[in-house]
Formats: sequence, C-alpha cells, structure tokens
Amino acid sequence: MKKDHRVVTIAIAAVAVAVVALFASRPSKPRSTRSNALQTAPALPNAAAGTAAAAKTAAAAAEQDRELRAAILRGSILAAQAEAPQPTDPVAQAVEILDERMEIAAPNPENTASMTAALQAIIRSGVLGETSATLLCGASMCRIDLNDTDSARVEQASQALASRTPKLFGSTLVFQRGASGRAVYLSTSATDLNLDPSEPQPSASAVAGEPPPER
Amino acid sequence: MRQKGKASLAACVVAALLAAAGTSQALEPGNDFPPYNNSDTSGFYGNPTVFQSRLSGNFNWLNFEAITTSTDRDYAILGCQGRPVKSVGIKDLTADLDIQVFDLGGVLLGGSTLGGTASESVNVAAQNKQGVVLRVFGFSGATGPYTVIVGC
Repeated sequence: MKKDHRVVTIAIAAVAVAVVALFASRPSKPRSTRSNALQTAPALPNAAAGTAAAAKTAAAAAEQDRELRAAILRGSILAAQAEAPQPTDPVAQAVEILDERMEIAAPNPENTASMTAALQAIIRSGVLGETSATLLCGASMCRIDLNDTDSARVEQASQALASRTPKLFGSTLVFQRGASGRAVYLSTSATDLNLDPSEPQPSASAVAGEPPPER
Repeated sequence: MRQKGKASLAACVVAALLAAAGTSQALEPGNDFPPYNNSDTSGFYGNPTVFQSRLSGNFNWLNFEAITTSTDRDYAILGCQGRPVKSVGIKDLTADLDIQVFDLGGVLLGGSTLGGTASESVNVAAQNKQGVVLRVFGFSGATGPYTVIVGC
C-alpha cells in the first residue's frame, strides 16, 4: 500500500513540474496565440522576414507545448492508474506464497512419500464422501484441493480430513476457493504455514503491566 | 446491551458449530467459558462466552480451563474488537493437546496438531476474520491445562 502512495506522489509531482514548466517557458505569450498553436501550426501572415522568424519561434513553442501537454496527460494517466484499487485478495496471495514454498523447498523424497501415503490412505478411506480430492506433496508440505458442487459437503470433507490427519502433520491451513472448493495445506512443521514470520512470539511477559481489562 | 447481543449470537454460532460437527457433547458453561476474572490483566474483556483483545499484539488468556477428560472439548470465541484476528493458539501445555480454528460460520480455517507439549498455533491472518472459534481437545485422550493466545 505504501508503494502505491509513493507512485501517486511521484506522478503528482511529475504533473506539477510539467505544469510549472509549461507556464514558465511561455510567460510573454498571449493566451489566445498559445491556444491556436496547440491546435495547428500558425499560418504565416505575410512574407516579411521578421514575421517569418516570429512564426518559426511560435511553431517551436507550439511543439514544446504539445510535448508538455503530452507529459501532463501521461502523468495524469499514471496517477489515475496508481489511485485505482489494486486487486488484493489475501487468500490468493497466501495460496501463492504457500505454493511457492512448496516448489522451492529442497527435495525430500522420503518425507514426500510418507506424507503422500498418509493422505492417500485418508482419501481412499472414503471419509471425504462425494467430494473430489487432488493431492500434491512437496518436501514437507502437501496441498489437497477439495471440490464439490455442494458447499456443505465440501466443508464436511474438509473437517473430516482435518480430524483424521495423523500426527505426522503438525499444522493445517484451509482456504476457501470459490463457493465450494477448499485448498487444504498440511505441513510437518509449523513454520511452513506461518504467513506472518514477523509476528512476535507470544510470551507471558507480553501481558505484564497491561491495564485492567474493560467490561 | 450490545455485549449481551453478541453473547447470544456467539452462543448460537457455537451451538450451530457443534451441531454441524456432529458432536454430542453439550457446552459446559463455567468450564469451557470461564467467568470474567477481575484480577486478570491479559488485555481481554467481555462476557463469559466472547473474549475480545482490545490491544494490538499477542495476548494470553491466562486463567483458561483445562481439558479435563478424554472426551472433553473446549470452545472459545475470540476476537480483536473488530480488527482481524491474526493468530490463535495455546501454550503452557502439560499434555498433548491440539487445536482447530473455525470462523463464526463454522468453516474450518486450520488446525495445529504438534506432538507432545509443544505450543499449538494457527495463523489465520490471510482469512481476515474478525472473530474465530477455537476448539481445544486432547490427543488420544490426553488431558491438561492450557493458556489461550490470540494475536491481534
């Protein structure tokens, strides 16, 4: 979110600089002349040399104006894009992070095999009912995708899976995917599924000195 | 008045959760939901069924009840006073207790089933829930006390 603000600030600053430059570059020009110059190249009024030189200057100024206008427009578009709400789905982000962790983990075929076997046994036992399950295991983490046409059934399957998970898996996270889908992550270590590593560890001292609770 | 309304709603949600989970165990008032304790300075406040942390960071509910029998299941509704709950867990275990975390609609968000007396924790920040239901139970009939941790 901070990054967005920075982009907006930069864009606004760019627009401001461009506007200042626009007016600073042409202080003595009458407004009507500048306006005409932006539309088309100015017509030469007569063949006099002095007038021709003036027209050349006006054409150059018009070109400069055009460029500045374009810069302002680009700045405005950039600012508008930065202000537009970014697609932020915390669940999608969490799933992406966990999938990435699963992919980049150093291979551990033995662990992968034992995790796969344990979860396949649960799936084959039929406790998931009609809910379909897709299993994918990495080195220390597995992902099971549960899908059903009925949202209640998929929740039942999710809870059935969690209640039968062996101690091999120390941690489970469940994310809703659509109306009747679940992405269930099971890990042999608690750290794999920790999505907020910066979070301070709980301790008894954390409560010391707190004011009395309110009612 | 608003708190009472929340309490009723929370009780209904837990009852629905229990019904949905198919468990036959009734709620245990006074056991699963300890009464408000004035001497506790954990940063929690509320009524006997809803615990809300009013401050940011991790806070511990120190005087929580224990899993007392092999079939005991404790449920607690935890929130951060309108802010999303980041994590929920239990610590200070003397037995192998495990947890599951649900949203207020009874949808499973995650669980922690580490072995032994290791603290259990579920990070639910991505799910962006303002209230969650914590379920505590013993592994293979284990019993013992615990302290609830909520990260806000």
